[in-house]
Amino acid sequence: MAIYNNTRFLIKRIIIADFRTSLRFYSDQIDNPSEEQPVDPTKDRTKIIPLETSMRYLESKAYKQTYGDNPVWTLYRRNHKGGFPPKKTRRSCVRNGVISTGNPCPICRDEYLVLDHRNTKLLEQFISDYTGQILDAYKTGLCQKKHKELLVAIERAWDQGLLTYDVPFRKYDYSLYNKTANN
Amino acid sequence: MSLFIRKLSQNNVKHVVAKHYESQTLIFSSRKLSIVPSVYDGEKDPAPKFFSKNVQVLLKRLTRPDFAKVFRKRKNTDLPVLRTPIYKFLTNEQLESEIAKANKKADKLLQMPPIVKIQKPITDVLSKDPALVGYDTSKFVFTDITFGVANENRIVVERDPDGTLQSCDHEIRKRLNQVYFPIHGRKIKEPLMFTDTEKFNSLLERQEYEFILDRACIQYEPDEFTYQKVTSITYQHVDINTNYNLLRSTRHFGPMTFYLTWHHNIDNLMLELLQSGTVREAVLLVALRHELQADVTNGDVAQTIVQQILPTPVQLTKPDRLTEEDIQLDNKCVECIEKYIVSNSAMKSQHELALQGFREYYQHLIDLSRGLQKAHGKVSN
Repeated sequence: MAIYNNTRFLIKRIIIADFRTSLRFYSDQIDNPSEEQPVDPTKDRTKIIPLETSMRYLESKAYKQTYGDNPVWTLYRRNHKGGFPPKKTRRSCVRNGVISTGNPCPICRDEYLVLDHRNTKLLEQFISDYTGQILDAYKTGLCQKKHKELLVAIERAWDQGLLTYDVPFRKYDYSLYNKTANN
Repeated sequence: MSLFIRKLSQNNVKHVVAKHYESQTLIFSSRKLSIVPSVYDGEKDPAPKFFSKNVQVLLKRLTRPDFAKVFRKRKNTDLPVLRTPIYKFLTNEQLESEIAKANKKADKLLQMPPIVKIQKPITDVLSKDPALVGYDTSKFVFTDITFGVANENRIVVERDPDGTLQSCDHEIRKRLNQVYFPIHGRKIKEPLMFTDTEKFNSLLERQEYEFILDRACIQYEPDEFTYQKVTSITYQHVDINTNYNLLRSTRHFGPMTFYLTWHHNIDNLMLELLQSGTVREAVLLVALRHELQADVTNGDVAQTIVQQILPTPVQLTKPDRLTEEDIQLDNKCVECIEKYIVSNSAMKSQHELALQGFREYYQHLIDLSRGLQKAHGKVSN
């Protein structure tokens, strides 16, 4: 009985729907807005920018004009309520390949900044001049996702010698090596 | 038709030229890569020579420590807060004691990585227990982690699945030492910059010698083959490109000089010293060669001059005024070097030219300083 009722209901709906489409006299564009809305090209992040392009961009005039000699994060300000920004930055600026926020982080906002261990000119902007440590996301404003990528890229660059750093000092105990003199 | 032939020939010429260039670049690049590492694995052990007092003094003096470079701002202190410098008024005694302190500190920072013979593999079987055959499929490693034992003397043994108990080889020892007593900055897995030749060569090209050597010190033990290979390639690269100034006032200049002298390859360094006008250091180098190889004919003379040179201050810049003692000492040095060039040098003409250049420059300097003294009314005669 229940199945009968359900099927009857469905058939009625279909018939009504058919009826409605057949009787339509106006454009149907307003009716289905979910279908493929064009994405704003400035917010689209599905296109993968090759590393070489990014490295060329960092040398280019356009980059110089945009950032000058400052690191890319200097002029970035986080949006937050109250006097103090939250300790953690947002999880990610990009969702489903589209920028989902009005104030994306310094790396997300410029699609030509690619985090990679070979892109040393970008990476060294996130290393402190005074302590040699990697700057915190609290300071640079990177979203958590990009900050993690940055940590990986810098660690790789250090490992491969693309970025150099001050190696900790090793003190040698000569008595361990100078065996012949003791005996 | 003739036009066509001409074009062809032109093209061919281009082709040939291009090919020629290609071959040249190929030779060039292969020359760069063809540095053959030579390690301390011969019959002679370098350690007693290296640790002997005479050689240590010579090597330290040849480093030519410039305090501005020795005490440069380092970024590896791991301090959360940076300390501001302190400015103080000091009396003369206080100042002297502070300078003595700074000297001591510099001496510590310039401690040279030891040069020792390459290590031999450890193969001593402690016991064989056939009862344990097949007890387990993997081997067990036992480490004695008693406090206060040096990493080199720690007991690390392994029990193999076939029941033999033996001391571990260097590689396993190093890994376990790093697990239990980590050295700050050392990685359990070798950094790619040492294992990948391309990355290593790019570092050499960028002249990051100090970084390579510092990191090799941390990553490897001085008696490891890889350490000696890495350092030897770096030293040779420095030597070929005469980039000695990049290593001066670092802890690595002494070992480099030792390496070059040990392997009979000091001519480039000697030339650089003569060209930069530091004859005294050239004499020190001759004395070092005599100490290590004992093949210099006037080595004894050089050693007596060294005793006079050592009390004088390090010449960081070219002197603008000379005292009569300085002039005497330098003349002695020049004579000593002259004899050395005649008897032992492999690049005689170049060395002689450099020495001649120095002589002319020095004569000019002598005239200037004597003239100045005269003008001040202080005539020594």
